[in-house]
This record gives sequence, C-alpha cells and structure tokens, in this order.
Amino acid sequence: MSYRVLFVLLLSLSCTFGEPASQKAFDSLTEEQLLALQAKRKAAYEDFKPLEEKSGRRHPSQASLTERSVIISDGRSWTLVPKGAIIHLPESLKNRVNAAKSGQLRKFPDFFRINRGWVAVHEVTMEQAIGEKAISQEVMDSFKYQDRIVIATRSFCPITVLKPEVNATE
Amino acid sequence: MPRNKMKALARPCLSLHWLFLLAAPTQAQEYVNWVRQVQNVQRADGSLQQVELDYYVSREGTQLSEDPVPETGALFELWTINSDTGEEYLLDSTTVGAYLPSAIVNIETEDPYPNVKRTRADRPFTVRVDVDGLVADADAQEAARNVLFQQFAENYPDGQAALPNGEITSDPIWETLLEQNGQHVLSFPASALEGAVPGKVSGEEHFFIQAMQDYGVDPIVVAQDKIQIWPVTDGHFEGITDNEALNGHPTDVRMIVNDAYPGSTIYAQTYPGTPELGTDGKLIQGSHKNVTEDASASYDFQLNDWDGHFESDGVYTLEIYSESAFGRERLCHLTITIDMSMVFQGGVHSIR
Repeated sequence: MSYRVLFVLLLSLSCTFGEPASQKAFDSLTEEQLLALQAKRKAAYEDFKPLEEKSGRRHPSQASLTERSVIISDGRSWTLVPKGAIIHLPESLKNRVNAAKSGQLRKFPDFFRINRGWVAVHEVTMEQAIGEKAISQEVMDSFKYQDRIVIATRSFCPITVLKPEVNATE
Repeated sequence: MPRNKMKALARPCLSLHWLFLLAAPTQAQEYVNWVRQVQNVQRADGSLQQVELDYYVSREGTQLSEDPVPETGALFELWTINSDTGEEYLLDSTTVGAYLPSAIVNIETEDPYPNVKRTRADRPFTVRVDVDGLVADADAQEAARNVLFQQFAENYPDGQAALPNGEITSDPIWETLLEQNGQHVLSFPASALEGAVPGKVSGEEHFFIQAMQDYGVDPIVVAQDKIQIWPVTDGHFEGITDNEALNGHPTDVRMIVNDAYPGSTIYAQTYPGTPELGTDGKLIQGSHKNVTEDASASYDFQLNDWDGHFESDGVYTLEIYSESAFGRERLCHLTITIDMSMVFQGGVHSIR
C-alpha cells in the first residue's frame, strides 16, 4: 500500500465521530406521521362486513376476581372464595370476612389448613349449589354449634350456593 | 330447532389445560394461580344467576372440570394474583357450552411483558380471532349460526392508570357478525384512542366474541382479550438551545422526558460532531433511568456533570434516547459549539 493510499484510509477513519451504532435506532414520529398512521386504521376492517344496524350490546361486565369474591383473613394471610360460598358466618367471626388484604395471599386449601380452628368446609352437590335442592335444615342448624365459618365446597373447591328455589327439596 | 341438529360437546366434562407463561417469580414476587369457573343457572323465574367455583392450579398442568358443563354454558377464567400486593391479572378466559361455538381472541403486540398486553399509541398490534363450531343451518339456534365481534376503546380518567371497574362505558367503536369458522385478523398500525393531542392518550382497547342467544337471554362472552395503550414518549432539553455557542460547559440544563413507556430505559448522551442517528455517545451522568413502573411516567432531571464530555473545542451533539420493547428511539437532538477562547463583550475573561 502506498503512503498516499494509507493517508486517505487514515483520513476516512478519522471522520467517524463517536462509537459505531450498536443497535438500530429510529426517530420519534412527527405529529403529521402519527396522524397519517391513524388514518390507515380503517384498512384493518376491510375484510369484515359492517353491521346494518347497531347490535345495542354494551361492554360485558368485567368485575375483577376480588369484586366477585369474599376475602377471608387471619391477620397474617388472606384468601378468596366466591361470593355465596360462605353458608354460615358466626357473629364473632364477622370481622374476618371482607377484611383487608392483610399479609400474604394463600390458596383456600392452604388457608384452611392453618385455620381449621375457625374455618370449616361442607361438601355440597351441584343441585344444592344451583338451588334446585336445599341443604337440609338439620345440617344448617348443626353449624350453629360450631364457632366456625363454614364454606361450601365441591371436591374441596369453594363454590357459590344460590338461595334454594321456592319448591326446592332437601 | 331440534336439539339433535346442534353440535354438542363430545364429552361431558371439559378438560382444562393451561400453561402459565409468566416470568419466573423472583424472590420479591410470588404469584398464586387459579381457575374461576362461572356457570350460568336459569332460575325458576326465568332469571339468570351465576354459580362460581375455584380450582387451584400449578404453573402448568391439565385437569378435568369438576362437573359437566351445563347447556347454558360455563366461563373458565385463568387468574394470577401477586401474593404480596394482591394485584390480579386475568391471563385467559374461555366459554364452553353444549350449543355454543368456541373462539379464541389473541392480541399480539411488540411488548413481551407477561402480565398484561400493552403497547404505545403509535405502535402496531394485531388481533387474531379463531372461531369454531358455527353452523350454516338457518334453522339452528342463533348462538350457533354467528357470533358478535366487538371492539371497545376508552381512555383512562385523567391521572388514572385503570378503568373504573375495568369496564368500558361507551358504545363499541366497531362490531360485526362472524358467520364463518376459521381465523380472522385485524391489523392496526396504531391505537384507536383519541385525545386533544395525537398520541398523548392512555387507556384500553377490548375485543369480545359473544354468542347471541335466543329468548331474550343475554349474550354469552365466548372469548375476549384486551390491551393497554400508553402515550407516545417525548423528550427535550431545557436551558440549552439548538446551535447554541458556549465558552464552557453548559449550565442549568434539564432533561425532560414525558410519558416514558413502562419497562423502558431513558438517558441522554453527547458525542463530537453533528447528529448521527444511532451513534453510541457518552452517557450524561444523572440522566439514566430505568422505568420500573407498570404505567408511563414523566421525569425532569438536572444535568450538572459534564466532565469528560467536551474535552476540546468543536461541535457536539446532545441527544435523549428511549430504549424499550419498540427499539432504540431518539426523542430529540440538538447541536452546540464549544469554544473556550470566546470572550465576553466589555472585558476579557480567560477560561483556560
């Protein structure tokens, strides 16, 4: 390589300011570019047939899991059961229901295991859960003799129990 | 319509198979996962009530539902809850019924954040819908002939990062009836949210597939998905202007970044010469910030430490960057000239 060529090579290297780019970069969109982008949105619907008249269907209810559940807490941990799963609640334990989310969340089986002293479970049939059959009055009365919150379960999974139909049998 | 013409489930119990694609929990973050089954129950007075049942699931597995799925259908929701903060995330949901079509709605974005689907107002996203179980028989129940596909969009209230009750109160911005099985795709180049300043919007877009039912019964949500939208990020310097000539280090310079995207990193840098997009310059101390919030955030930093940035006279470029799921984005840039030999009028002041 001649000295002249070497000089040109060194000069071209010296014109490279800063470090080589390590990641492909882009500039933020201008407002005009953004508006143009938004105008293209309509093309997304081209393959679909619009409704001739509005359906009238509003946004489906999106209650959170917590809003559709009851919080039970022992002060150090808490759990969730579906609304309607508590079929017996002694007056002395009302402050442990709908309590704050205090401490760590536990799955109901784990929460039950460490709080057997004041939480009980009662297996129900699906007919009882949907209100076609009622939990016997004898069983309901027996809960009064145990100072524990009773949770309705199906195979140990908390389940809502609807109010029995008027003509429901036990 | 004779029920024997309807498509029915092949088996009485639904097998639930789920795979949690959450990031592995860190020591500071533990999640409790479970499935909430919501079953519609037709009461004697004609009203529809719901019975809910919880299953507790591990990170991955398969489990049969406890009871057969009723004709009125059952909704299965896959939730995960942070055991320390109580924040809950609906990961997936599906509705199954003997005479209901099945569907999946899946939104794809550039952001791989696992807890909630999100993007920015100026970024593209795709909505894929897979429908199965629709029949073309005109005598079939309406729920089996077509499904309602709706799109809702709503801005977050000012200063908020969530919708009240998680719901959108306005009418759908778009809807159609899907009458054919298969995949349907919506590809959006940007969000539908609108605001006084284009791109400076935050809120959500929700997509629903609903099975229309006969006899005045409310439609059943068969599939759904939603996406969070965050504002376009902007940044600028204050206390210094483009093409400004200085006889020393800049003073009283501030770096302003508005609506930095959640999970992004922002910083300012300098390098000798005129602006060259993508150049790796020298980081300005005090400008670097990792945005760890789950919502967009704004920052105002005083930049005081210029040691090592302007070691000789010449032209320099100052830039602000945001690095996020969307790439390395230059928010702004300006050029200054450093000339240490410059003198002030009315006196001689030597900096050297």
